[in-house]
Amino acid sequence: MASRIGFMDVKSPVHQLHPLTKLWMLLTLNTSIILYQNGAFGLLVLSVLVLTFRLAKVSLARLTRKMRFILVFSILLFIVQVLVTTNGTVFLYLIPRIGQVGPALPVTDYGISRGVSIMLRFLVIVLSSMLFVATTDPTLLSYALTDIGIPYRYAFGLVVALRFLPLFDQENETVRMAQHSRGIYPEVGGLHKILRTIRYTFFPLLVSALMKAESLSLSMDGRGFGYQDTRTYLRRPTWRHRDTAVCFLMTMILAGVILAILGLLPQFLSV
Amino acid sequence: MGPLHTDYRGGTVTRKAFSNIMTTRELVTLFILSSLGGALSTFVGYLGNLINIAVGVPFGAGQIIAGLHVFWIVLIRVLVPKRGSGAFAGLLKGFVEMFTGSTHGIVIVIVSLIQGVILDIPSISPNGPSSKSVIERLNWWLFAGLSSSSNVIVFQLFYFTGTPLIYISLITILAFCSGIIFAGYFAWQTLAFLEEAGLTNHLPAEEGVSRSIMIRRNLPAIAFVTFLILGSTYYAVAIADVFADPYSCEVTGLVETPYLYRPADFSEYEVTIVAELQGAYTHIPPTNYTGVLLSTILGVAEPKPQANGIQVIARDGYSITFDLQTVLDDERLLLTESNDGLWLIAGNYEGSAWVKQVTELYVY
Amino acid sequence: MLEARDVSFSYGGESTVLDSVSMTLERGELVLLTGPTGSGKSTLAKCLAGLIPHVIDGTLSGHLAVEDNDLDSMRISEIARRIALVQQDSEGQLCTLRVSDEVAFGPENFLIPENELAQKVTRSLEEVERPDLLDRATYQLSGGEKQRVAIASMLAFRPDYLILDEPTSSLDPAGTRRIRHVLSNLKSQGMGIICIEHRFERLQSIADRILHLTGDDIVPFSPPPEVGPLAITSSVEQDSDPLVRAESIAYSYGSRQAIQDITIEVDRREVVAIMGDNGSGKTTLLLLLAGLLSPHRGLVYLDSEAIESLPKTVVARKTAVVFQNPNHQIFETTVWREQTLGIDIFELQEEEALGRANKFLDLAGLADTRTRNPFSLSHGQKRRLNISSIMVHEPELLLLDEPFIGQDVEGRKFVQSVIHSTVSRGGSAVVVTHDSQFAAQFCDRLVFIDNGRILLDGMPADVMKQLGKLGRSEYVNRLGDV
Repeated sequence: MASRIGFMDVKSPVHQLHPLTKLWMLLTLNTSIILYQNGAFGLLVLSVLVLTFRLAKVSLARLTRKMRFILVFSILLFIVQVLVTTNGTVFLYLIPRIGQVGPALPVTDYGISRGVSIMLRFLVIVLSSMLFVATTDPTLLSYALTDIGIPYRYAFGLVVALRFLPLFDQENETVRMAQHSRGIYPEVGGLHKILRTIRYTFFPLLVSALMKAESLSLSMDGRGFGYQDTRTYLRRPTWRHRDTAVCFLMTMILAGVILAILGLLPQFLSV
Repeated sequence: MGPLHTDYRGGTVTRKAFSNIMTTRELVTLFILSSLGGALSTFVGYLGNLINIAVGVPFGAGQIIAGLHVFWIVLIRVLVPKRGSGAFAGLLKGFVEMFTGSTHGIVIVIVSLIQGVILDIPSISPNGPSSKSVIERLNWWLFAGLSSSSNVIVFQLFYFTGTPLIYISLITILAFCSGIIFAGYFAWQTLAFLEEAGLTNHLPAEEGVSRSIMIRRNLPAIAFVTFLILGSTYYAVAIADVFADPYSCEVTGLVETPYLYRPADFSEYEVTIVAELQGAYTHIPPTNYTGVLLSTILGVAEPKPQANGIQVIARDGYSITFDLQTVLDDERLLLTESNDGLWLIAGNYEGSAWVKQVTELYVY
Repeated sequence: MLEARDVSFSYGGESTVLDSVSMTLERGELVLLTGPTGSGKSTLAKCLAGLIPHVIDGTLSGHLAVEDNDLDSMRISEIARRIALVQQDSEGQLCTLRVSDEVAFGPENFLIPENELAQKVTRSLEEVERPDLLDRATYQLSGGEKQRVAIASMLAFRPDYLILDEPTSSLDPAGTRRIRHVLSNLKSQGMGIICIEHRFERLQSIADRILHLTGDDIVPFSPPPEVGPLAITSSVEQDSDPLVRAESIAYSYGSRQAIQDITIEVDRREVVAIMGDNGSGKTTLLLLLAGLLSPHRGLVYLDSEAIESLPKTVVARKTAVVFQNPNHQIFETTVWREQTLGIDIFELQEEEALGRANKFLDLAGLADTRTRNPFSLSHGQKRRLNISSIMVHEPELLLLDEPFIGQDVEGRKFVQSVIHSTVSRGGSAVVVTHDSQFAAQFCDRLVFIDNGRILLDGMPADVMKQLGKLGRSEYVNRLGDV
């Protein structure tokens, strides 16, 4: 049974980084790209990101279907931005002047540059998240979260949730087949039918999930979950010097971005 | 024994968890339902697509079922009546979606977390809703609606800045209604169903209540929701416009008296000039423009002596700067009323200095 | 010694589940606990494991103790270290993504030093005879493997007592034999073991005592009288066209080949049993015959027409599938609505259909549950509802996946009568089962599947003889007992 969990268990320099390092990378990078709207910066980050994919031995081509959606959505974002931006040097009007009507919907250089920067922002956010997911063992991530003060009973949520995901996918498939075998197909004509369609899928799965929750909580209580505030670990990520270095670098980049936004960065340093 | 304590010493026990710490059962319920919610987000997406096809649009109509994402958080918030369970569930569901390759990456975590936080707002009774109180239920439904509509706002902040307010408002209202229906009404139906199935014991089943009585009991709720929808629609189309009146512009920065410029207040100062837009690629032949000179507008605000520049900022984020003294001396630089807001007509400058939908004049 | 004395329990004010029950278990002893469904076997197990009253609400009285320590004065985690409970649903007892993490889960919580963890994990997996599972992802395990891991995860913190709730119910006969071996080894190491077993014969050979629980009493067990099968009259229509025919079909889940190359025909009025190991492809074959999965190679014909070219509602009308988990195939909010769901969908002639709906609901023993929420029924009742609700549209091809699991004598009779009525209408039935008694006495044909291929196909008696020769005698003996 295939799983949708994106983690790819291979050995690479990126995989070997501490999960918290990668989490910090994800947060700083995304904060930077959201705060600093600059096409050149976006392009730079995106290129570094694509190189990191190669370094991590994660193939983007494997994700074709998803990539197609991402590209379509990014183009859509670009178009929306171009359409809603009216200022800047006008290249052309999508609706030319016909008599007294128009011209309308100008395409401007400012609109295009904004469109590009938002498109880049979207690509960076999505691709960096995908890279994070592909290179981070979720179990180690949740164990690592206890290092920054999150109680392990709560941090464990990620492990349990992901553990049950393939099962629910499978059960969803079974429910769908059971529906088909009784001639039930999704219908969306009218609120009543939408609600019925949802009920037919949600209710069986909910019942099954709550029964799982019952036996799992007994099983976990029966194995000492919450015996003490801490616990020991069979597997733990190790913090290396390179983690310190990467975290420092990312913090510097974020600081640089903030300085650039405040206009405190000398002109020659800003990209 | 962890968070649960018992006074049981032989005899009978009736125990209640009163601690604020979640028990293992509550935690596991939260984990597993978040997981199921994440797993079924694909199904919800599929359903959204079916609706898009039925309506005949490529995307957007799916917001009709936006409330189904909040549905899970509401369910968890009720089944795990502990402070913070909404935010935790939202966060976890978001992470599950991110780890299964959501095409929104970490943004989905933020969207989902905010939805959870809204459901945790303390005005909702911390011990979960009582099935008796209609007001309490309305309160929940209202928050479910808010939580659902928050996704539009967050996505807009990330990707659709500058999108006209009217579209955002319409989609927000759609998502709000969806929240009321799916994360409110339907969630309650579901909770009653689970109760009947003997799987939960949080909402006492309303046994022996006939359908008509149920409807009658729900009447105030229905009326309230209708009122809310109508009210917010009215607000969005009528009142919100006043707040963001396209025919006004703030004068701020290094000035003695910042104010909101409205053309109507300055009608006697209007001048008319003839100007020609010389763009790099486009050209508008000489036209008459009537409006108020920037020097007049700025004069009222009284720029401070140390000010030496002015930035003209448009709704879409576009901005351009001028030297203050040059502006004060310029008799061909004015704000005119166009069909979509205030335009800066810069007769002495080339096309890129002409700014549409001016919202702010910032003196520095 | 693990002891229960005069234990009574009821869930939140409802009727009493246990009424003054007493039993003891010594270390190094294996006790089988049997009893009818609803007699409180699982509840007693939860009491003995301290989960009642520590984490499950209800009203408990009586005395529970381990080595003379009162259970209710101990913390649940202290009890857990000594008494481990493996529940029936092994799927719902795994909480991590990797087998090694799962087995380490208990020791980690009990703060066993990190340098001892790896060794404990390996040792526990060796004890369940599956050290090879160490680095596997938990979601990829088969049912039997999941159960083995669930047991290993309990053994990892060395409890003195182990309670297992129906450990063999979803296992194939080979899996049953292996689990018997594992338990007998644990017993000889001095562990006290209680096995709840619906079908006590499966573990009888390693048990020291067999106890029979009736809710208010535990008595030494004496076997019940045999249940005779309904008489069958074979009237297979071999000369007409087969009702369903699959021609060299293949199907795979990702890279795993579930069905390799199967050609099979089922004639009208024929009852076919499908047997085979867990994971051999029986369920997949059923889904392919129902047209719910499309074969990656080959074709399935229903009434001589390619099933993929038929409208989906026509296929749904002619076939009926009953899946293993009853919760996945209940859709409505009351039993009656569930029972009559097909009437609207298939636009049945209402009067006749309602008549059938009533008749089969009656036959299933569910007539008084009409207004209840179907999910509130017991497991066995739900499964009967699944079957009775599909009989309303009179399907011609009945495809049943393990219909006897969780059924008592009356439930078995009901399943058999449903098959009987379908066959007498000119339909046929394909039944996936581990129950060789049913196959031998009730079926016209037995098909044995191995690794996605048909290994044997013929008269049940002949196939069983062959199975014996192939060293699969566990399938031949009536209840999977060697």
